[in-house]
Amino acid sequence: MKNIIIKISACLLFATLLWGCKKDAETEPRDLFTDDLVWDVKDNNAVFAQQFLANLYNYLPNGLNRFDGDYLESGTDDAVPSRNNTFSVQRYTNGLISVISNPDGYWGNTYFGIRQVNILLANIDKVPSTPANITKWKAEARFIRAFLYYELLKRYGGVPLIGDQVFTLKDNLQLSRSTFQQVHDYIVTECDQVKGSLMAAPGADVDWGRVSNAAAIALKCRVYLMGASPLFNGGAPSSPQATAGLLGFTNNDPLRWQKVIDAAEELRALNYFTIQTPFISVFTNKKNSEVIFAKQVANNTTLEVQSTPVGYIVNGVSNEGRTSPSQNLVDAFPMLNGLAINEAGSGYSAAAPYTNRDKRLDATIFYNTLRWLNRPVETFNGGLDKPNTNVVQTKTGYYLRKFLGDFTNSSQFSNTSHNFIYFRYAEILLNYAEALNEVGRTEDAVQRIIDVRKRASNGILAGGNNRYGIATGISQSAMRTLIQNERRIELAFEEHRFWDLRRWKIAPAFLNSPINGIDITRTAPNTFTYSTVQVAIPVFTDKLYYMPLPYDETVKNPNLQQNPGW
Amino acid sequence: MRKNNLAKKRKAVVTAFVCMLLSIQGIAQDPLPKSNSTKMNENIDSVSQNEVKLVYKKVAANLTATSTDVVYNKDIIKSPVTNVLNAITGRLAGIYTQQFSGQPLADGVGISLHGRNPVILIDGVVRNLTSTDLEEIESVTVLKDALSTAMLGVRGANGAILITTKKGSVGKQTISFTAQTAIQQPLGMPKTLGAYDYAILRNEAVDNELRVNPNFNASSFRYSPADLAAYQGKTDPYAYPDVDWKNQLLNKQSKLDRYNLNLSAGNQWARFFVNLEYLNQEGLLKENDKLNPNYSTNAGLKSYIARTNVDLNITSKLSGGISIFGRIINGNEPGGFNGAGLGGIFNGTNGIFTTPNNAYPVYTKLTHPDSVYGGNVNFQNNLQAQSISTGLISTYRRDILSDFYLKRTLDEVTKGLWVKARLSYSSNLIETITRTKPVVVFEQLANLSYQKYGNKTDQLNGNFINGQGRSTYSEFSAGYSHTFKNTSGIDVLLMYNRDNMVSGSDLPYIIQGTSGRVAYNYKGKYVLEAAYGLNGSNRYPENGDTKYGFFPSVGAAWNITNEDFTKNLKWLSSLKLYASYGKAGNDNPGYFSYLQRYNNNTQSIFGTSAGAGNTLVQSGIANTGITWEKANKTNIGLQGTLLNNQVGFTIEYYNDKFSDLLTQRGRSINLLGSNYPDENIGINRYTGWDLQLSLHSKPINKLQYLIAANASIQKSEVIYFDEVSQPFPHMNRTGNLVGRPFGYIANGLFQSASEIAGAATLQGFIPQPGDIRYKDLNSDGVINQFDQAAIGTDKPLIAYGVTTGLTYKSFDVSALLQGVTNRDRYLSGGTYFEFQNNGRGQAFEHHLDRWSSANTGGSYPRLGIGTNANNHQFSSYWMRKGDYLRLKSIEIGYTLPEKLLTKARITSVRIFANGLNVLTSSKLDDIDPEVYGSYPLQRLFNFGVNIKF
Repeated sequence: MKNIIIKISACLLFATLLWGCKKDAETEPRDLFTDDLVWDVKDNNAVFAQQFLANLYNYLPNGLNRFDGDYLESGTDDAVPSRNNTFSVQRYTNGLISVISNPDGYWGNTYFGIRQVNILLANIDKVPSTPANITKWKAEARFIRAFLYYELLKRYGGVPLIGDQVFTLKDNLQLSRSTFQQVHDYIVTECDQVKGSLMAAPGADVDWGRVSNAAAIALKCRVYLMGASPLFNGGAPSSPQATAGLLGFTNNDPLRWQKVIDAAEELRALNYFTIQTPFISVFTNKKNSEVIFAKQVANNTTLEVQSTPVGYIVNGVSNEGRTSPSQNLVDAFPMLNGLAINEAGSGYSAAAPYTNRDKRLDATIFYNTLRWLNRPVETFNGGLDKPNTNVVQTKTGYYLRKFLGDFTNSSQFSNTSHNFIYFRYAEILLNYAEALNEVGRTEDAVQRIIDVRKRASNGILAGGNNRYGIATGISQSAMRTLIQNERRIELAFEEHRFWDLRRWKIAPAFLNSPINGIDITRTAPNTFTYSTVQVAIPVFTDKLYYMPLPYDETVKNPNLQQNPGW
Repeated sequence: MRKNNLAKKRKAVVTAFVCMLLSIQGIAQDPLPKSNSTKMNENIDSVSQNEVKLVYKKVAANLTATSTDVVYNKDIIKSPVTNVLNAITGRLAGIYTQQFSGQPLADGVGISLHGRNPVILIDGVVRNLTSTDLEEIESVTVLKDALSTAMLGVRGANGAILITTKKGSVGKQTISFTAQTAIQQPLGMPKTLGAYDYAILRNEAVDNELRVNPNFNASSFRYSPADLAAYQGKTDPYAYPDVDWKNQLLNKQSKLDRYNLNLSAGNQWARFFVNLEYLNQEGLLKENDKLNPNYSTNAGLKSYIARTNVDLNITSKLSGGISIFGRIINGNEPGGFNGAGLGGIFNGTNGIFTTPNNAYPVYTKLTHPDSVYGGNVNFQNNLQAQSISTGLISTYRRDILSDFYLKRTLDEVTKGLWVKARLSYSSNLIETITRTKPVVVFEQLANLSYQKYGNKTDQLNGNFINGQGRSTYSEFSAGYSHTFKNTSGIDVLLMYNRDNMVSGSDLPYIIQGTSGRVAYNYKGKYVLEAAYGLNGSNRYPENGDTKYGFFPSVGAAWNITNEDFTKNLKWLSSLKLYASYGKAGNDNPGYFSYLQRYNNNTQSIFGTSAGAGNTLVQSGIANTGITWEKANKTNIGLQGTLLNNQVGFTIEYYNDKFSDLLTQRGRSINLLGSNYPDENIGINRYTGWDLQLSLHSKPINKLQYLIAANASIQKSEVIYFDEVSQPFPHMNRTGNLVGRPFGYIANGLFQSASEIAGAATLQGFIPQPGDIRYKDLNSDGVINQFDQAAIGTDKPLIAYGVTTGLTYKSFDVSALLQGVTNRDRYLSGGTYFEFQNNGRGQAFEHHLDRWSSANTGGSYPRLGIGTNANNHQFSSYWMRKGDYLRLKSIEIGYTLPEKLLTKARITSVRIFANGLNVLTSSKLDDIDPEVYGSYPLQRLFNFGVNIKF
């Protein structure tokens, strides 16, 4: 008996010990993606490397109503958020922006993206794909990196350029800011270096959305335009940072406009891009000959639900009407004859403010009586879309129509493309016109504006003189104002106004005066009276020309100089 | 290569273990005396406590230098709760608990032991299972110092809660049956306003908003005089509803029934304990048999628990045992809005506490067949519909724990030597079945037309496994005890154990290694004790290797009353001075987080058909040098009894320095382009005092009473986390209490425009009278990030409890007072602020005392609509003193005279009534200091009878 027990005990002892020696199938998880799998030296299809490349596109900025349902333009004089107290994008106009509350800082995201680009550049040569592929992929990655630097440059001026480095935890990251010129030159040089390796625009249908040579030229054109503009072309408000060249070129050089012209002509020489018609199809047809580069998203109805006036209830789902465009923007649209509403002979009537207006107004703004989902929009007081009992409704008497599909006579929405367009041909023409006008070729500039205006049957009428409402012999300064207005309406809500106001240094004029809306009373069916009402008074001070660098970054890195005023 | 490394390490461990076994045999030569430990008295309390349970061993209280405290079954069952952690609140020195919700199945309890979250063991095995039957628990021991948890090694740094279940004992068979029924009442729910008050206040808020912003869209928010009159008159419940959602949806009280049957018996060969429990806890939701006759939508749970503990003496030298525990918990809750369940009703933005009384009528008077529930464009999620007409969510939990052991005494080798092997297996599953339907609401328009929101659809059914796991624990131990010629004694324990835990599809998490303990005493006067753990887990570099850590502890105790010079001190019954010091570990490796990995990111969209494709992103930089966290823990204590053991006291001081805490470095710079990993850099110190005092009378005329008090003073300090050099000293986190919040310092409310004109204000914000004024700490004339400082208390937390008990003849009364001092409570959000959620939100009674020009002494800032950029900043204004004192439990019992029972062959009958959370005193007026704005904490009145055969 005793022996048995001892034997049992001994067996137990050994069993326990053996248990400890048993080998598991995996000692660390084999399901994880690690370096050697992503940069697989044996995979000539480069499956995972291409997935890595695809992810770089995720770092490109979003657009449209990306601020929790609000557009960047709700931080300008073009619109206000319909909801109260959205302490997001409105901080840019109500003065609440600070080093710890910048709704569009974009600092971390860009450097995260730049790191991923540099990881690809450091590793892609290990993958046995064709040299042509490798070259193209590197070019795509470098373009995305240049784009991210552009996002930083327009916000902050010069930022640390880190080249191809992939930092480790041990690296000294207390880097100083590069100058505006260094970042500016880096972006345009990168664009020039990669454009030959990129896909030729527009590329195959399946590659739509990938970086093309045209995208690189368009980015270069945009950055040259920025550098030639009054704020950056030696015009930054005086400060030590400006003197150090962080905020723009330190000198004014009018020749910088020529670079814009060259870039625009380079793009025109591709002989592919045209002005697309009708206007709304530019935004809802994924691939069309006007779009140069856009953020690709799956088709959906989200934007329709978030933008459609609140009185529309489609199959039990109420719509949100989150954006209220301003009267200021509506007033910026000319008449069908091309004349501004306050110009002599325009034919504008305050009693019928939406009659005979530039067709782009109908495609941009939901105004009272515009037809949508089988009924007219009702933004008069007590109307379905401004009942004055909804917690969220328009504050200006308008809702945002742009970017939505054509549901004028539909009973419900269907999935629609909502790509956010970074570059389109109309913008290139406007850049071109602006530069031409600045170098004194005003009449050439007029022709480029006409190119934009004559969007057949949807734009402005040609007029007897075929000048689309532009006065014969228009002066350079009048033309400058016209171009600025044309950019405002043509590119409305495409994230241009916010930056244009700054680079032209006209923000103080526009962002210190009231933002208005319209108060509409229905006196009889289809009879309305209109009165302008103030909905907000923005504030703009010089420090708002540049965004504040994130507080966390400046306190952790004393070498990182803050922008003036912050 | 990898295989070799692994094999080598394992070999080294095994060799070390065998060597130790041999060396013990060398020491152990003398025959073993009878064990010192005596059988535990069931009515034992902390005063006469003479035995201490360590993780793997019971030791005589006077022969250990460890720091522990214990609570026994008879006290635990006085709290009619479902989670054992709720039953020990206030009863153990060193413990602080916080309950987060009163929801059945989710009544989570946060537990802190000396500032850290302890590991929970059931019968010596790590098991995180605390919702169990209190009847089966013999005792709950808290192990506080490094010496008591040393054998846990890398799992010991945070201390341990040791749950010991009952075993059968030699003696007559006893059958105990208990039936209890309790009434549960919700406590401290937000006090919402009626429709009229709400409307008045909202009009005032609109006026205030217009003062800030003349362009405020007041028309959407203002009530007309006619509206106000209608709300006041309550004439039209459809157009002017005034629904008290709490009354509409919740019962005033609900039931909790519990039945327990246990059986204990044994002889010299076999001893067993069998325990069965059925528990049925109802939730607070009202049901409606007319609108939903088909199934129950109330939140509730039914649990079925069974345990069998069997111990066998197979031969005179070989013993063994089997324990099996099974638990089934079936929970139920309504489907809720979009399947959000009960959470949406209680915590949603348009939930029961955040929806205004006048938001919408509960029901409509329309004739459309689906038009049961009211709603409108602003409120499309009718709460009544959510609670009874949205289907249901059922949760099924199943747990099995099983334990086997064999123990063999090896007296033939040397007296006092034994070996033991143990195997333990557990398995758990949490499964959810959803059968949900959407909410459809109707708004009545003019002329009996209507607008519908939401769509009726088929019921959506789903089945989800929320958690699934198992663990296999094996243990081999050997021990030796010996007393040398009645002068000195030695007690040795050595162990190898391995815990293999599997959760979901993850690779097993294995903690394994050896541990040991040796204690030596000289004449019971001087005790030297040492213990160690040499263990680690398999989540470390290189290839999922086990990284072993050595965690030794030493301690010494001096039983002063055993010295000759105290013999004359008749009043001093016992006195022990003890101290321990050791290094403990905390394994926190994540899931192979040392591997630099890539993850799928948001899908990419390319092509005209918008095809989605996979993407890969390099995840945050891995910490390739990750290791366990460490603690150096010191404990010093003095324990004694006076006056013939009638008075007892314990004073303990601890000083625990945690280092290598996994922390993101403070100076993380975004230019890195990656998230920083948690690195082993953090250093925190936790210090404090545990105090206990008890008074335990001898029976005088059948009257006996007991008072025991304990208090735990807990302080902490952040020593290092690579903090940036802050521009102002008040911004320093280092040196503060661990986890101390930072925010603006409120300095009352602005009283006038002239006061505002001279004051520093938030950048870009123009305050109104009645807005919160903040202190400009750096005197730069503006309130910004430089004015954020530590807020809340900087004093050590004090958790305390007082238990009293009294028996007189057949009656017994006992009570537990439990409290916390220097505790903060931050109040914010839709259940505390007014008109949140863009103005759709509710308002509360505390808003009646808002600041206005007519009430400049108001306790609440001026009212506004939605978020206020100034007032709703994180600031000391909303940081309230969360101190409280509760009559946590009280019990009265009556034992029937034995004479009545003997004929019925009944041993004893005891009738009892007890209460939980009976009274609460706190500075937070009407708010429960623990749970506010979610499923409320409950007050219980419980009645029961216990019959023993």
